[in-house]
Amino acid sequence: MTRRSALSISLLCFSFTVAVSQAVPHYKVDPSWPQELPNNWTLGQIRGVAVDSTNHVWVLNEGGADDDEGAAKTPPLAECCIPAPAVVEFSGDGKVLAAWGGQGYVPSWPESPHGIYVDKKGNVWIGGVGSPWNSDVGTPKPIDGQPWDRQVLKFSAEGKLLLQIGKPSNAPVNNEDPALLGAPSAIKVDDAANEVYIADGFFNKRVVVYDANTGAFKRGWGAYGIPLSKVDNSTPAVFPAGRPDLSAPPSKQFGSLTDIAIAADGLIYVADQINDRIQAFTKAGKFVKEFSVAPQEIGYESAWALAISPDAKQRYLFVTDGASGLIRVFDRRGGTELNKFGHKGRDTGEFTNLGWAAFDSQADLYTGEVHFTRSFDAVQSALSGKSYTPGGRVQKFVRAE
Amino acid sequence: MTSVRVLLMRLFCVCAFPLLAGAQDAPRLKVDPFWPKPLPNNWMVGHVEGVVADKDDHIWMLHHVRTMDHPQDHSEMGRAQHPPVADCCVPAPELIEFDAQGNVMQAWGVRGTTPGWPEAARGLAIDKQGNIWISGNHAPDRAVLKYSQDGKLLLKIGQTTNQAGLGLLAEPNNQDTTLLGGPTSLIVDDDASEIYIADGAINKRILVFDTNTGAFKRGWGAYGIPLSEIDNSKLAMYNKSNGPYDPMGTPPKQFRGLWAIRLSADGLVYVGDGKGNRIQVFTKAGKFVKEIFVARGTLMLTGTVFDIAFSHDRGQKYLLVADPSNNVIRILNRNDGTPVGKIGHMGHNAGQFDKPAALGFDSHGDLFVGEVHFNNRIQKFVPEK
Repeated sequence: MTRRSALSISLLCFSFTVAVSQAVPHYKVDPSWPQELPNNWTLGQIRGVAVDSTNHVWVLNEGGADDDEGAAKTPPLAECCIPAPAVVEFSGDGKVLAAWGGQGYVPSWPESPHGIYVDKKGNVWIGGVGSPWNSDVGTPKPIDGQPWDRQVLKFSAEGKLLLQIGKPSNAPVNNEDPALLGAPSAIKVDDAANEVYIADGFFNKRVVVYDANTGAFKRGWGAYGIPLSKVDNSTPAVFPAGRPDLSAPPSKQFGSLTDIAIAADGLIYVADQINDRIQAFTKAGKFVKEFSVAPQEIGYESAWALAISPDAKQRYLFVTDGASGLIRVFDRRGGTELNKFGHKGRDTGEFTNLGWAAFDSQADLYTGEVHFTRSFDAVQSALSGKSYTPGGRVQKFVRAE
Repeated sequence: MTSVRVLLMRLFCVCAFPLLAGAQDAPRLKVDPFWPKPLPNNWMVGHVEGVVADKDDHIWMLHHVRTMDHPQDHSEMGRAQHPPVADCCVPAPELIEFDAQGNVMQAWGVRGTTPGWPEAARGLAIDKQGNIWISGNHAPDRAVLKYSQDGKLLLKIGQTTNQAGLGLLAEPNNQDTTLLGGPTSLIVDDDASEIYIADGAINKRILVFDTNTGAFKRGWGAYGIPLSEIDNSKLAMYNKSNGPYDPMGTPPKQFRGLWAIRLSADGLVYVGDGKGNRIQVFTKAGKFVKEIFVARGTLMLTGTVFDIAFSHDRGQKYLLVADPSNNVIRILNRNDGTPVGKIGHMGHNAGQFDKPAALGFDSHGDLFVGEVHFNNRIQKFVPEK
């Protein structure tokens, strides 16, 4: 929230307000992005969106409705369509450049991939949240002997597995154990320090940092920067129901971490979805501040994904609110909500379950909606045993001046 | 573990425009991604089951609230919960009138509030006087309803029953013309004051009634068979004892699931037997003329004909067919059914489709497409210059 230096003193107050309101970025959809997918492909649920240093857009997707994937059945049920590989690389004008990955691609491919990041060297990082959390709100399902996703994978841009941190396991939750993650949901790399930061996660409640080359554990912390020894190992929190208790003190622990962002000034931002809040830390894990995001929201909550604006000072923190179908624009330093944009719906430029956002270097914004609606088709689903949760959508937004 | 490098240039020629296979005058349409405007009042819509332009080129959209909500997370009705769980949304009334610019002019049609309103609204037609005709395809919705433009109930054909739930719970009766069976699509012949009903989500027949009195006029089954020869077994999709269906085998003698009925300017009745992957054509008297198969080998339960529209040229040279199993609008020669092009492809972005289900042209030749699971939206396509 800096003011323009040329403002005269007498106009300071008035101009300050104007400068801020004018500067808050506004966006409009680019309806032509992406172009038609090749090979009769359809995207499944959008599990992550990242932009690399060449402004290519990487989309992590998996799992769609059977009715959208008729051509992949045996025998084929229709001409349309075939699930795209899990990792799809798009050019800035929306052409598919490459695609790889998916169930069975490597033995430790996550049961439910979640979170993608491409570091400066072009390596592709993927997390996964297959766990009791890979289920509907309020009804975590126990896994029948299937290992939970406790790993982060690093691939070359071409899809060669380079490094694995953690491994699939059913071992009890242990936030002090750096050898196993706990449904890691998002990843960012500090290229200068060669360190990878992991939002860990959906059933651990911590941020952990590893060497990006060796995978050696460096450090970690919980909410408010508490040491890992003080992080709660109890069962993961459930998305709450009922009326939010706005008078209750903020939780001392993370609820569920859905995203992590690294600012150029060295601050680490973490989205704590269940607790409707964002916490900021130094890279060493010292707590700096927290701010709440639409605390009146309950159920699927409000703080889903983070994207730091690419202006020189990184003035804004964009927070996707998937429950309400909009993006809330925060003053990154002050933590106040300056603006919100978007509208829930399926029309072009609207948002359904908006789970991801990423900027390219030109401040174009890419969004990922996790999935389109499920519904009433629960009845048909029960009759047929088919999946009726359709894939999501990626969209591109450009600055509207 | 090798990466798949994809060569694309050749593939992108398909795009959102019709493939032109020797059909230079086939409709070429491109999406207007900014129609309609965002809905007011935090409204959200469910399956879009009907799209019709009235004489003023206002677009009427029928959608189905019951399809919206997910029973566990209420992800689309967060504001309608007690207490609200999110800023958005509340269900919109099921019938929405847009002006040509995509602004909402009015909306009504709420189960329990609007007299007679069906549980699962499906068919939509507007007659020359501007009356709105609605049907529904769940077990209680055994009627077609005629409303004034402001929602006054004027006429009921058939009966509303106390039976609850999906159409599959209801018993077909193709001989009883006092009770409809899953009427899914409607069209009015204004000159003759007759309404044509595809009575086809429970029953397997076409029925015609007087639009003023509601008196039964005539009816028929597949290939024009009399009502007395229509069998009363449940539709194949609900009846697992029917065994596997071979769409390339002998065409079924009975309708398999009707989703569309349309009248051409030259006086023919086009019936979309969606689950039979075919269109049957009749005279207005019910005499069978021909049948046209649409992606005949499709095995997906939804079939290939959710709605039919006639191209906007004077001779209505082409049929446009909403194919929900393949997520395209197919363009066929109306005369012989030869495929000449497609509009769109699977997806959730602008100009793409995920279960297109309703088609309507306005007087300028702009095409409006409604989608059901999973896109639940209306899109506008304008003729390319």
